[in-house]
Amino acid sequence: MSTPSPDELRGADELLEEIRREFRAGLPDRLEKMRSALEELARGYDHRAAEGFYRAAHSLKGAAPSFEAHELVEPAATLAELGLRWYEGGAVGAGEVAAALQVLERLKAEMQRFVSRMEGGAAG
Amino acid sequence: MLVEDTFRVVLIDDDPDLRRLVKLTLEFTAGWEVTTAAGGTEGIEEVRKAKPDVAVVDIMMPEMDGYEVCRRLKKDPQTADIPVVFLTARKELDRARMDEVGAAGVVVKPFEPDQLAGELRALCQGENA
Repeated sequence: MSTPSPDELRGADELLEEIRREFRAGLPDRLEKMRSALEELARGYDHRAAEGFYRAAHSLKGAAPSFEAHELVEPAATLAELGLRWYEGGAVGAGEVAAALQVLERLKAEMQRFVSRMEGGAAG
Repeated sequence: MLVEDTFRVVLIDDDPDLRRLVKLTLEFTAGWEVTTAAGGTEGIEEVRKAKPDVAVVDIMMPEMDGYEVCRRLKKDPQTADIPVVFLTARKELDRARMDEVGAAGVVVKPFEPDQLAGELRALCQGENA
């Protein structure tokens, strides 16, 4: 395989931007996955819901910096830590789901700020 | 000897956005061939089939974590010589376990796109030295 040509590099830039757009477009689904797991956990501990919640938060925490979404890392990490504790401990502490929902709201606000920042920049 | 032109990578990561980003980065910054897998079982199969120059493996994955993927690859005579590099957040790395399972090294997320190929190549050369 040879070194990419300027045309190929331009193509790569476009593809990269498409991947970044898909990451941004997929943020509401990631949020929804965490929210529905929390709703299930609010009704009582469920191991699959705890695992799903942890995986979704952890995955977002890991992916966000590579998409310049640094503002998402801290709330996603907080949620991932909570989810891991629930998953490993097999229980959810009193008030922890409510606390997680507050962090989830903060994450949602940060997602909106991130998308505005990126799409505002792309438009300018 | 590692030849950049023919360098082949199997990337195992459960996050679809990251898989696409890493694949595109390596294909366009270094001209490498990258195949991907979303989980450990599928990834091990892909490594057996493709015999890549390096397997790049996320640590925290459902079903089977990266340490276990690496342990199985190193145990299998068909794949034991293929360097395994972890791609993970710094906080998640357990150096003792990484050494125990025989990984060649680690690239910490978030990676710098224009440095990823160089970092992987350096780690693999260290492994094969």
